[in-house]
Amino acid sequence: MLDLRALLTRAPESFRTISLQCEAEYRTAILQREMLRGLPNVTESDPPSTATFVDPSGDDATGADAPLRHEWNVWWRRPDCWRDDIVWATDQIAVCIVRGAASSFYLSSSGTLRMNTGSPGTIERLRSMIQTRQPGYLPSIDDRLSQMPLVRPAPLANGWELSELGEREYAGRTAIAVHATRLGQSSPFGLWSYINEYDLLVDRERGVLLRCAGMVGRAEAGVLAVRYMTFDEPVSDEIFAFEPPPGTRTLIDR
Amino acid sequence: MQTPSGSGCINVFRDASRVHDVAAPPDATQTTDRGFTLSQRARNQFVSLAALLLVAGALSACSDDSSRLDPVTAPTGRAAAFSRGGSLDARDTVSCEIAKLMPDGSYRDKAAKFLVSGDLTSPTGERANVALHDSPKKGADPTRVVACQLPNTVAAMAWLAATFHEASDSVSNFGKASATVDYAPAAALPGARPRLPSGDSTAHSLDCITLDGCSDCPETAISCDPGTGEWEGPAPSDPDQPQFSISGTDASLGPIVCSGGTDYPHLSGTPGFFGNVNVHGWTQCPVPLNISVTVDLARQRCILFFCWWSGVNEGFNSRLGTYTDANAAGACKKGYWRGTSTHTAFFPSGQIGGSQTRQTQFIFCPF
Repeated sequence: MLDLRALLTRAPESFRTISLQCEAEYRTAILQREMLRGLPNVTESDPPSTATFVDPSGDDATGADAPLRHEWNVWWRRPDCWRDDIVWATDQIAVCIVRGAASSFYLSSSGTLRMNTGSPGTIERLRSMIQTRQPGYLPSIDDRLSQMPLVRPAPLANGWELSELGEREYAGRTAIAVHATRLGQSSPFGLWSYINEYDLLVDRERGVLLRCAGMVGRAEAGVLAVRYMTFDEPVSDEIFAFEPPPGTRTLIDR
Repeated sequence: MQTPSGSGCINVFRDASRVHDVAAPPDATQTTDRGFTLSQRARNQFVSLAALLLVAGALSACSDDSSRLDPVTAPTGRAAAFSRGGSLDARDTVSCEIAKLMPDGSYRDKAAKFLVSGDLTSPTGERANVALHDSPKKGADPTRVVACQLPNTVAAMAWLAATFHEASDSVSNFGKASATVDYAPAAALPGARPRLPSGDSTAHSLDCITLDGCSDCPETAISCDPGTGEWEGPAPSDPDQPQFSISGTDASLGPIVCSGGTDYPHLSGTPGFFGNVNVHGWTQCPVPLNISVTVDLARQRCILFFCWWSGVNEGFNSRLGTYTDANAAGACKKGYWRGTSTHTAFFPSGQIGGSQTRQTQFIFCPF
């Protein structure tokens, strides 16, 4: 008898390295509706206690029902080398790299590379003398794992009701189809705290998720689906080095 | 999944979410079901494709009665054709992939170098804006998806595929290229784009390319045996199979609505912070973005009838994700306290959005 919870919990221990390409697809209209439903009542104040804001260049004509997609690629050489890239169709890309104590975050839309190693250039030193700036995001592996649910699905083992729906082949691997329902006090899982049901495909051998669909009713509100995945294959050091495009502003946060 | 089926077959998924593959001839490197390899032999066959397809256009029984076949001669003399019911719309997008052929015969999508960029014009006059992510150095930067504004005919799609076919051939070690198209039925436009995964009844499908006597491809065919002319293999529309090509990347993004809020300033009950006034601000978005929140805690001070807000503390947090929060705390003193949060998000359009929220509360201190 397969112990599904143990399988999910042990997932990261089942490999030394993992490389995966994942496709993310979101029904933003559904997600936004669920997200806003969970908000506290807006109080009358200026500014209000709760507010929404929208992409100023969002294409309304596309329609709120149009799915939004990006790619999400992950390399993890356990225990302490991580990289994940989010690539949008608009060419915007976000790159998180953690290598031991070193951490960096590149965001193409802001043209910045934040790091906690290295020394700032002369211009940056001068700029810091006259202008204080907020520290920015520096990823940690734990934080990235909390955002990328496919690799470490262990939270599902605690506080979620798991219903096995049989086996099937997916991405060339044997998977167990599982329906997960959030119970009262569950471990945070996935990208959306307001999504309480997931349809999952769990890799039978490794315990990682091959597909994770956040369900609202019978609709898939958001899907992360593996396109390609390898285990225990060498991941070169080059993967964990990132050279930003020319013109990128490098910010050193310690 | 599909295995190489011999020479001369272009394998075309009937699913809209998969467009075409070319299987490798025996003398070529092994191919996968996601792309094609180019050998001299395959290249020659591709050159002859134009003529074949003109015939195939008439003979093809690949699609249903409503389908049409658009033979197109690519600028290079190569040609490809697709048939399907309905027509593409200018709103549609195409994504293309080029992958590096590794010595062991596998493909590595992560190593593509610059191949094609800029505006391309098809033989039929449609323009395709093609932007290929580049790996500037070391081959380590893993971007490789091509997002193309789709020309408005299937013919142009075929041309685009052929163009990429050639582009991949012009760079050593690049053995695979594929193009996928994401399109909506005309009846659904303007408005929602149907989800591409197979089984979606609203999605049209690209049907097949016919070559080398492989003229009949049933619904389930993804592979053609040139010896027998029969198509074989599992249906690509099997919902249990990974949908490689839902990467019909959409360059025109719909509105993304994020939210932010500030909770009431309150007495903290957290051990170690008891006796502090605490305020909590948060930002959340439905998709993972670079989001941040800054929360300022201020206390009202008054002299006679003049009152103002005096800043006490500030908290900040940011993340690449869907939710982030921050706290600010200060030693309790009786009076009005105010938390003000500033929320920002970097949207995939390149724009920054944001808002500000605020809560005020009168607080009595326990001691």
